[in-house]
Amino acid sequence: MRRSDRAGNATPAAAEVRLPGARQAALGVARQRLVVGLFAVALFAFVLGLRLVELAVAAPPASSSRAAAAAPARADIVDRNGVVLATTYRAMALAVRPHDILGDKAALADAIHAILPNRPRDAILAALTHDGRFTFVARRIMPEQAEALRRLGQPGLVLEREPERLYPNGALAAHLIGFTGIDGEGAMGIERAFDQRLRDPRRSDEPLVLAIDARVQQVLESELLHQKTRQGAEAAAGVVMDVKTGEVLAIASLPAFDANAPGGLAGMPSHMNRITLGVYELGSTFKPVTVAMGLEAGTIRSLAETYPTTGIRIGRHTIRDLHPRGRPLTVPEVIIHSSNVGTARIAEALGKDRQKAFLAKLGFLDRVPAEILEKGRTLYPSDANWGLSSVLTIGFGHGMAVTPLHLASAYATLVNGGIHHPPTFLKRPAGAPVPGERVFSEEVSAASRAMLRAAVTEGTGRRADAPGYRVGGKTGTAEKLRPGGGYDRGRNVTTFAGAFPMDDPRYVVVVMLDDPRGDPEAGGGRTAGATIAPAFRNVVLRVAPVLGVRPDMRREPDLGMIAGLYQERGR
Amino acid sequence: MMRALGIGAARSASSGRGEQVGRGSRIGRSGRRAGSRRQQLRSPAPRTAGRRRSLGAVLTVLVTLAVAIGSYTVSARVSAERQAAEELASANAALARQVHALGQELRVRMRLPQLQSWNETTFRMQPASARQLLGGTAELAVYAIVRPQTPAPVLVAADAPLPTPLPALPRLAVETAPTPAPAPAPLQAAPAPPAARPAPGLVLASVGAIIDAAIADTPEEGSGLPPAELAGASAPLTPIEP
Repeated sequence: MRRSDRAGNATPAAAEVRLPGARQAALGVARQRLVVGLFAVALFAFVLGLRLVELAVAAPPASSSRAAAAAPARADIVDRNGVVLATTYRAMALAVRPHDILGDKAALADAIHAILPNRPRDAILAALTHDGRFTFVARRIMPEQAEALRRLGQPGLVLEREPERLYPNGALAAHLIGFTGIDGEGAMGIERAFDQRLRDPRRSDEPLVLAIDARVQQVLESELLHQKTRQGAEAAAGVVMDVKTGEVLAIASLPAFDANAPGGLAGMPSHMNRITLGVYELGSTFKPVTVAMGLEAGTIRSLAETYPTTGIRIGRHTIRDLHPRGRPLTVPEVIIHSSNVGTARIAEALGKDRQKAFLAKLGFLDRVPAEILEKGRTLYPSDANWGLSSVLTIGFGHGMAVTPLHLASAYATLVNGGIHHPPTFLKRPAGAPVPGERVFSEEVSAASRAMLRAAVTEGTGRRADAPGYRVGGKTGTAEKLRPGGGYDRGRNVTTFAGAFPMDDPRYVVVVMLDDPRGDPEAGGGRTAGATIAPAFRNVVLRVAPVLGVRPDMRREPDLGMIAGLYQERGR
Repeated sequence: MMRALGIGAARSASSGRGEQVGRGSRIGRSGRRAGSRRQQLRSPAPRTAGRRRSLGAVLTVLVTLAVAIGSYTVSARVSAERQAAEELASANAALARQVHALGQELRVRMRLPQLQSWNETTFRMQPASARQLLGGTAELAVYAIVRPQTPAPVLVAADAPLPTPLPALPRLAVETAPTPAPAPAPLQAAPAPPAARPAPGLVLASVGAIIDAAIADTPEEGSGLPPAELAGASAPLTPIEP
């Protein structure tokens, strides 16, 4: 006789002694289980049916759509008018599986070198004899070259399509746009700063819009290159900025590099962004800022106030004017004649604390608040060393090094009514409020505009005057620092910072030459007025019509505030 | 699975004696059913019921087949439509890629440094200077007032009496002449001498010459400048002052 097992399951022997009621209960349980099972099967069939209907009627999943392949891997970068500055295309690349190569590898290297002459034969052979399973031989090869390589019939050669970054304008704005590395990650400039944004697949169809205007950029670069060549300068740089929004319309840094083939290391001179990374003592271009500080702080009570031009002895050094006038100068004359002594006196009256506070408001003590990551730290004395000597020298643009973009932003503040807008490389949305902080009053700004205009018409910046465009600005010549310390009297950094049109300023232009050697045809002078001011004028003459600034020979800004306070030319 | 649900156990329990016990529990109803079945077995009705069941099964099969075939047809059509749509999307994507590639090539070819290079070597275009732009119609009118004196009007000659029949235009005279009559003067001398009134055809030529002369003396349209100044404006853009 069988017995029930430990789990209580009925064995045939036990069933014989089961009572009728127990069998009924077992039947009931069995029927319940049957119903549950049938229900589960029906539910499963129902779900299957729903899925079939969904597959038959509903749209296929997006991942299966081949149309998705059209989306670029990295978003484009365009200028403010939609001109493409960086885009992505699918280029051919030659790779190799060394173990699958048939025949003589040296002969194959010769054959590949004949097709790809720019690729060294040794590098090709090194790739063919590589120990790994897969390596690249060459990238960005032309379609006809790819076809010739395919005809070699080598099973170990692999022709692959891969996304490559293309910069249609080559070196144009290369320092700002930057470039991508071999794996497609941003390595410099906007490409680096906005790498995540550009790689975001949800926004790959949405280009990144810069504030740059490609036409203005081209003009700035070509004029600077022209002047750099004529003057035999080591380097050149320039920036064009909208004074009312802080948008940077162009930045140029020469020598430049082709973003399509950047090569080398980021530390090379051609890769240095002199507008945001290079810091310079900008010399006399700083004087209008000091004068505006004095006017705003009230230490200059009147524009008619005069300042002696006799030298100031500070320790072992004496501050003198380059071209002493031999008489006290009014405030406008201090700017027009670029008086070091006059500006130092104004800075002395201003004092360290107020000078430092104004410099901080104008952003001179911080890195420039722009979007790219290549930004230089400004150099200025420590608080303990910021004594009278520093106050005086900073007043006329020495003893402190800032980027040209800092200077452009400060000039925009000077002429736009006194509001400091942080510079930006991205186009601001139309109608959106522009962030800004008031630094100078409207009156101080108006006085600065008048003095800057007079500095061009009567002073050292005459060669920067573009007829009809009411240019105002200031020259600046600063001696370069020697590597071992001290200043090199034979090497200058010449700068011109200005704005136009001065009756209603719209754009600031700052241009700079590093160590100009002088143009014999132009007199051989090495000061800013001789070396860089003509480039400023040419830039304005070409850029103003593009930007919609109307020339008018009979219009002049209101110089009533400074009328009679300076001696006009020819009188 | 069925074993897991206990169906096997139920089946074994309902076999043999268990089934009899089950019938015994419902003896009233099952007894009546058994009686009616016996009656049915004896009558011709079971054949009709069998036919009905067969017919029902056939119908079920047919309906199932119809539904299956219909569903398959619909599914196949949907699939075909989807494939067509996907092919279209794929073709669109390919075209978009081609347009993109073409745009890239055009952008590379028309890159700004290249355009400037062409301009410097070939086109030599320059931005308009301030003196080439006028402030408005009033300034334009001023230029019209100070327009240089033009030569004496010649069209008024048409009002003068015509002394003799006008000679034909030289070219027409050559074409229509029936015989090469000895011409008193060569065709190049056909225009009337200065003292004589010009013929209509030659008047037109004179007017054209006069207009040309006037154009040469008046400012270029829209420039507001005399030619000498225009020539000055076309000087190189980037002279370096000494």
